[in-house]
Amino acid sequence: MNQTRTNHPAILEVSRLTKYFSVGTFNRSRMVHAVEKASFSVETGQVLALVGESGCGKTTTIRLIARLIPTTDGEIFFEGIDVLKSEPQKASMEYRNKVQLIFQDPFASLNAVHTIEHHLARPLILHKKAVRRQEIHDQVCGLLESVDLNPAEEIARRYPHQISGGQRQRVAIARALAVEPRLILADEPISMLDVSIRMGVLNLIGRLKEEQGIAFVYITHDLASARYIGDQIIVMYAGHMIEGGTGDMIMERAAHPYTQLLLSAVPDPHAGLRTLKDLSVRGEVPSLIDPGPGCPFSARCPQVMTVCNQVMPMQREVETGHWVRCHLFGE
Amino acid sequence: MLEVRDLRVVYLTAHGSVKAVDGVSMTIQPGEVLGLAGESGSGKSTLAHAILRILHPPALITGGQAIFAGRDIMEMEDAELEQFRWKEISIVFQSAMNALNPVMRIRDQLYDVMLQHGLTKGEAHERAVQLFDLVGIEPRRLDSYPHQLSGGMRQRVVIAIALALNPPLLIMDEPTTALDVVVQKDILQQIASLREKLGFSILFITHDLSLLVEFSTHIAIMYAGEIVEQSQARELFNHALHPYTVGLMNSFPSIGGDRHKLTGIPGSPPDLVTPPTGCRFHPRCPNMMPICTQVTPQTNLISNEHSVACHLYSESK
Repeated sequence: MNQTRTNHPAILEVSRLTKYFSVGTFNRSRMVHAVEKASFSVETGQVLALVGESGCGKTTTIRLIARLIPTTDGEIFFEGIDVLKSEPQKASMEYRNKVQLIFQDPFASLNAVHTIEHHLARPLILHKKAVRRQEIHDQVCGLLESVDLNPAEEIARRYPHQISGGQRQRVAIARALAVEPRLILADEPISMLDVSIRMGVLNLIGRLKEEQGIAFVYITHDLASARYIGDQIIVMYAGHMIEGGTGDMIMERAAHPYTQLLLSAVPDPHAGLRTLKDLSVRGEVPSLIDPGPGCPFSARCPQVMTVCNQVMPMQREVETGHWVRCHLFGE
Repeated sequence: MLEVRDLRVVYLTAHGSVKAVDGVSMTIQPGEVLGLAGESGSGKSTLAHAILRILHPPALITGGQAIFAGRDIMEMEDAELEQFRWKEISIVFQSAMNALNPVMRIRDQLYDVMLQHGLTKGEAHERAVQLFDLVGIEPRRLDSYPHQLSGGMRQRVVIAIALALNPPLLIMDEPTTALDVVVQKDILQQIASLREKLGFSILFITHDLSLLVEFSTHIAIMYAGEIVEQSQARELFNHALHPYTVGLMNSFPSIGGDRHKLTGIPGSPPDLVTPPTGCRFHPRCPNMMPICTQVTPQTNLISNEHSVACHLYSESK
């Protein structure tokens, strides 16, 4: 595997991570190949953006890392430790202390009958970050201030329905920060927010990365926001990771035909007013139930070759730090 | 073609009346695509529904006119409305999943509107096949149920139903928001080529400004129930005037060019039960002046087709 090695230690390293879900009837069980042999790493203080359309397996990937669902196969190394071996049944408190999740929908991830203070106090108490009541309250206010929710005293007393969507998502981020995590998994944190407040939340993630050295896995279907915030981008398609590199490598020199397709579909006013270019690719994402052996994009690919239907291509480096899985880049 | 004058809609709620659409005026000329952009709760869908008069209580149209081909839609009787809707103006709803009836075959849902407007069953069948051809679905899919189609295909069916009677104006309320980008692009291209072929006008509603700049000929920006800026699309993109429009433009990262920091807009959209006094944008505005908190700005024509409601551009500042 050609992964770039730098001086930074990888905080998270995932190897051949795989998840199949079984569907169908008892006698005729079939498998949905949700994530297929995903390998990647995230460095301390870096944002890895996982980009793909709905159903490509990006949410499943971070749920596996958060250990909300059991893996089918593969390894997860966190700070150098093989966590699936050292704590096979479920994640330890220590792991949860270091790895936190932010969900897509801030309207669903907060409990309507509890105050904001309650939401932030719980992780503090559970993880024994604070004991005395005053201590807890002070830390709650500190957390709210760290995500720019002011006046903290007043926000803490409110219920979720009394604050806006953007503020709710900031509370969800503050809750993740409560345990002082090293890695935050953010599942489309801005897609449910109003457009005018999205950048504020993205900039907050950028600031936490810079100031506290927290690593992020940022999931999105929006290539532009991935480029904006991501140090690395990985593109997923039908359960496979098909291309990876820095934002500029992916945007300017996209190698995989699917990445090129995604790019051509992004509306981009800053690129000037161009007429709609013709998409050469039609069709939709293939079924993930018991897929064939070849490249999942072969049915839609404009440059498909015979080999594409038979073998999944290996990962190849097209330039330093930029890899792709496509037969166009084979020997 | 369609001229909306000072249209007002309120929602009667337990907390008081919400002015969802507050004195909106706009025009759509034949062959134009007017893009209406705004955040959730800005009143853009309410405005569209008001034009077709498909609002139900607690929503109430309290004033204004919508003149279509010399007739005021707001004054029409029920029987007249029945013939008018779909024949003259039809609508594509946001969520195709909810717009289609899950227990009816697609065929019957297409026939429904055509039989209602006096076509025979044979004509309806012929037209249905023709429509599916237009939107790029195989006619054998007519016998499917909605759940047997993908999201993109369902959205195409909804567009086909909207086109059934060949209306001169189509309202599209976030027609592609629930879809993936690739499918979205595909459907927008299809709509653009259909428009060229059939010559209808579109009122296109979305929260995605970057999409509008690509797709529309004219753009209107809506904030808190009011249209704050209106212009030809290219002009708006190059010379946005209203601080809200400028802020919106600054909220979309790009896939090319410099990676400069984008600020978005501070604060959040206002509560319309108690909207801010004066200009409704003033609590979030970077260029706020004392007058903005007290006086509602008038809409001023800046150039030929470009108008803006902001004290920065009024003569009395």
